[in-house]
Amino acid sequence: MKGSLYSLLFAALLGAVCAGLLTAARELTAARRDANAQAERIRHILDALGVAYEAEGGPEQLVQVFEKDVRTEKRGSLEFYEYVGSDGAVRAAAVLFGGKGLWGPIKGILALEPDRRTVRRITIYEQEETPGLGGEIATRGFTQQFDGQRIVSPAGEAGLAVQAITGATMTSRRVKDMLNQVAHQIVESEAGRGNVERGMRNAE
Amino acid sequence: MNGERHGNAAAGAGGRPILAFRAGVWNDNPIAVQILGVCSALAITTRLENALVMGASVVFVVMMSSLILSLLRKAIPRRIRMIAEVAIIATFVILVDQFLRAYYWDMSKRLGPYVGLIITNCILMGRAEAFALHNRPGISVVDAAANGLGYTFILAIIGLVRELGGTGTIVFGERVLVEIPDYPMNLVLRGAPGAFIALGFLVALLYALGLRKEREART
Repeated sequence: MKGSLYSLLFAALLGAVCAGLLTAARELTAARRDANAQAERIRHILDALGVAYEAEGGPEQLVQVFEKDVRTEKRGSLEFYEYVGSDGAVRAAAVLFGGKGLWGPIKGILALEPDRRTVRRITIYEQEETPGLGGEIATRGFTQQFDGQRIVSPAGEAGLAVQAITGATMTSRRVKDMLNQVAHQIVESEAGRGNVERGMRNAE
Repeated sequence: MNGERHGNAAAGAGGRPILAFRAGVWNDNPIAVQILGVCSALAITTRLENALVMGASVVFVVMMSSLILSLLRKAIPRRIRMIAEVAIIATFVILVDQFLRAYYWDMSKRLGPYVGLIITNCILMGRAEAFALHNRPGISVVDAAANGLGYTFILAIIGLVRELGGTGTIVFGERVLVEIPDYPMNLVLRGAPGAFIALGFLVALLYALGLRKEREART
């Protein structure tokens, strides 16, 4: 009985010490880890928009470039990131999208031409799908099918046509749903704005 | 309490640090001789830099865990021995992982899950079970460092070969060889086949240099 009690106490103490150490480490590194994750997100947005930056510049440089060249605008439920050139004209727009993949969260960026209707490029920057199957959604081989597609069909329906990956039905389906959802959100967010513009024109 | 157990070359060194060190790095090399820790050796050695950081991480974790386990060896109850080993190893691995994520983000992404998988690396549990729990802290740390360095040495060579042959660059991406687009060897060396081939040739070379003869002479 004494042996068991000792084992229990030892295990409890060991667990407490390890947990304490790890919690302390986590707290101490939290700020830097978050800064890295944020810089990572910014880097993906800059890549999607085609903004130039120094590859080895580090997180501070990324934030600087982002604040200088990218305008963030909230429309409806979406945040649009617009690459504004030195002449003030919008060169590209990007929206984040994502959702639940089969094995973990999927996060991507939809980069649009300035008309905000034609896809320039889709990038999936975070996914935990099956390597070789669902994982292929992150490759250019999969994402290039969307280049140049319009997010609204001539009939006015918002959505994108998705060529699924054989052997990755679930992942493909989820990605299709995410893309269709973001396409809808983009069109909806414009709707309110369009009305305002029309209203103003009528008033002239 | 059990005395010193003779389960491997380092323990057979009779407590002499220099022999224990030589055993871990050379005649009982964890990858080439004990054939342990091979999966991370294959997975992340696409670049020399990755191999070095991975090696450094393993050296740190195995030294710290062997040290702590050796210090606690008389206090750890037998029945929860393995759980205690894993808990201590895991704690240090997670510390390294958090450190890399905070201060060496690019590398953390490149190493991916393999830093966390150091917990499952047989070298660590192997040193804990076979050595640290039956020997004094001083020599346990030497043994751990030696095994970690032996592991790093193999990883570094594979990483060098794969980076030079597969990408033409060397340490921190400095281009050394002319880039030939679509050269098939690039894909082979940078991918899984290249890793297996490189490891196989390396071990064969080490055996040819006398590694196996030393081991056979000992047994």
